[in-house]
Amino acid sequence: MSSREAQRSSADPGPADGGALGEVLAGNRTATLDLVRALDAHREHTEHVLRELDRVERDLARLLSGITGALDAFDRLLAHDDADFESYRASVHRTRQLLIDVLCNNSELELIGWPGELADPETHHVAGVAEAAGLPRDAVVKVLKHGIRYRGELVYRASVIVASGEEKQQ
Amino acid sequence: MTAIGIDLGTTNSVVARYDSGGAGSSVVTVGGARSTPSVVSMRSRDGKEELLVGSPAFNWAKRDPENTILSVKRLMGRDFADEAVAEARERRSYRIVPGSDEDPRAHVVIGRTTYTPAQVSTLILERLKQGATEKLGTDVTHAVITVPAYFKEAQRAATREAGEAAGLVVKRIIDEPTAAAVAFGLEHHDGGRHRVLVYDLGGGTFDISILNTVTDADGRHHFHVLDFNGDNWLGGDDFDQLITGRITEWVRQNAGVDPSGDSEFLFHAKKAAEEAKRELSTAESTDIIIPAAYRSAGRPVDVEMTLTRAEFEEMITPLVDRTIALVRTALDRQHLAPDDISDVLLVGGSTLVPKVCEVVEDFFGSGKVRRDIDAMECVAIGAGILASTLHGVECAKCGTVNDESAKECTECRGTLVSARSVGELQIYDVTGMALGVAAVKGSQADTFVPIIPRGTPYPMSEPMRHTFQATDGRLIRVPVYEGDSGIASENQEQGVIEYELPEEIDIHSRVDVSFLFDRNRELHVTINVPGTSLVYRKKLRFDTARSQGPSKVAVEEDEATHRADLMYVEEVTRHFVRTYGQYLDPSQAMKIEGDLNRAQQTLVFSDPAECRRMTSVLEGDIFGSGLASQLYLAERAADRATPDDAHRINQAIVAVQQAFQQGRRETVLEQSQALRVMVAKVGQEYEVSAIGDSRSFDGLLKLLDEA
Repeated sequence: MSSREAQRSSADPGPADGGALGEVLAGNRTATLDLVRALDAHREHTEHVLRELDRVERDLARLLSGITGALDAFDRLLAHDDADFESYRASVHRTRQLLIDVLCNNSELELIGWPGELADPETHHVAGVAEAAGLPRDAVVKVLKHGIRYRGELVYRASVIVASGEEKQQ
Repeated sequence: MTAIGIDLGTTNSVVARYDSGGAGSSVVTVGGARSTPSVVSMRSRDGKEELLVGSPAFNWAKRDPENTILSVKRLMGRDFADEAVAEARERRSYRIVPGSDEDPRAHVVIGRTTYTPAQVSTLILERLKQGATEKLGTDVTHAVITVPAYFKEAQRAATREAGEAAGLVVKRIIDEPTAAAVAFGLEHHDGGRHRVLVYDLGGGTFDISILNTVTDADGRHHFHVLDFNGDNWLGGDDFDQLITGRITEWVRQNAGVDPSGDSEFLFHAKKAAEEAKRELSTAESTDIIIPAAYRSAGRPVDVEMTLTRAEFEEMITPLVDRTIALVRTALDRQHLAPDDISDVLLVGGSTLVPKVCEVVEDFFGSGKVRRDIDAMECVAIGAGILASTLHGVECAKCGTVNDESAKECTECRGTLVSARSVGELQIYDVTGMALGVAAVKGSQADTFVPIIPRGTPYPMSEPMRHTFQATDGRLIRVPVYEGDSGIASENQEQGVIEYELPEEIDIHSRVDVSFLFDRNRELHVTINVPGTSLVYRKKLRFDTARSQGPSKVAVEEDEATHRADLMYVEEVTRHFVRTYGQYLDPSQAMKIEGDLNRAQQTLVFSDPAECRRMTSVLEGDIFGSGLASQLYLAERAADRATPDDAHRINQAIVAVQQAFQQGRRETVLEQSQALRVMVAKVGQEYEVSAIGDSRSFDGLLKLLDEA
């Protein structure tokens, strides 16, 4: 028997192999169903990723627009070099607030680290301890670097100086 | 069963997992981070104390430095009296204290509680296990944990203890360089022998290890750490410190003020330094800009400077050169040249600095230097690969594969102490240093006798044995040491096995000491007295009191006392030589003469430690010089015995002396044996020391050759 005939022989099941053929077909059917289910899951996952990408792009666009706005505000401030100190300082303060709004209101981003709040070891890195009259132990006295939480996940911790909780010795 | 690899680092720890299904190796994030600070701290709030572990503990370190345990790895398995512990005490704010009376290990204090370093590591490992379980969504049960190659047995045992206390089945404790070699796939090298150098420059430590990798005829891979070297206080943090110094200098020069005492300025400068170092890995220069970095006379001072890579490299050159000097030392010690090294693996985040890599490449040749696996994660990745490819241990008796947690075979109930690991990756460790005991040799009671030589593969299928002679009829004391020095006290003591004999034996009885190193690298010690039923088996514990070896405290004792002691013993020795010199062998006589000359020189210089040592040497001469010593001791025993006993002893002395003068060697041996028994009896009955004022060896064993 040539090798081609041998191949044909093994590929063509005879009447006695009907049961085996049924098993093969059933196996193929199961495999196909599994494949379809996997494709569905894959499609669902891809759609989810695309939706997330879209959302991230929108967040990014809003963030960039906001930052550019704050940059423009700084330019305007610098153009007024004859302004008095207090009004200049007030404008700087408003620009800062604008940046905070941009970061926190448009992109599910939360800044961590505000004076007066109690430091939490999960989110606040204590860079120093200071005596601060009236502030309870571990309250934030000064923020050296804001932390960031994005969509509920901690991205950067805040670095802060906290109150020792002890009054300064006179 | 879910198994992970853990790189339990000095500063940070990393968890990794290997998916043999095709996903390969990956780092398992813990709490969202790829590494977890190896830190434990405490927060007090509303009168309650809460333990913090990992990132929260690191965040809280400056809030409560006295209760924040950093770099606990430096203390693992170390005695309080250890030099490394003394150094850590100087550098750390937290309290390091000795254990209870019987526990010589260093402990740390958090709040009102004292912890062993292993217990602190347990807290870190629990955090890693919990974080990995959350991330993987399955209960993590088994782990391979890495340790530095230089870790002694006590330190390895402490690490294993920490892992088990954290609820993990510790599949293996493996050397960090071996794990790195596995991560780099060095076990896939074609046959033959390879010599690998692992250059591990982390944040605060620098380690070099030289490994031999050999594949045997059965296809098993052996990794043998030939040597290691390093600097415990050198790392990438020093690079950051240099840049911070440069920023401070810039402010001094450009603003005319000195901000070096301002902690806020230093915070910002350090952050900027870390960022600049990262940027200079790829860029030729970086701008360091810190608006309002410092306030002077009511005015803000901005930092605005440029640092080029050339400047940075010039700054760090002395530090990098130091690492190469240490590499050269390690190679020299093994009589190796750079050409003898086939692969150099770069490990640790600081090897990402181009200058570091360039210098290593210049030294070894660029073709050998490997950095294709993340330098900060490769140790964990290697451990992760081993963790998931080791599938239990095979019973040597029946071949059944058991879980690593099993103590005995589920099939035949045989012990699994020396069972070998089973898995796709066959890797065998060998001992990095010799393990042996302190014993008496001649006049020295501080001789190191290796029982398991350096480079022995383990687990061992058979114990290794050495035969000694007893020096005490009721006690056998075996101080176990690890190291390469012939002087026991210069090695690292691992613990002491004491066997109080249930029945008295002749003090010259032979004693066998056997060591078996199991798959967990735990030492099983067996002491037996051949010809008797006396057998004592014990697994070495590392928390036992240490032997009374030469101590620094003793060295620092009063100089005059040691000098007086030596003068007295010198006089006694001269009297001994005058009276019993004829019974000394010529070699013994020469040795004592030499020792007396050295004692005189010592008295001239009056060094207390040397006075003490020479006193010990001369005492050894008096009490360890064969027949002459025996006659000396017998006469002293007779002085203190009852008249009847004294008479019998004196008769025996005369018999020995006559036999000696007539040259009847066998009779001398017989008579001296009888004399020895009489002296021992007198000592026992009248509480007269059997060897007069001789040094008590407190049950130490004596080398047979010196008997």
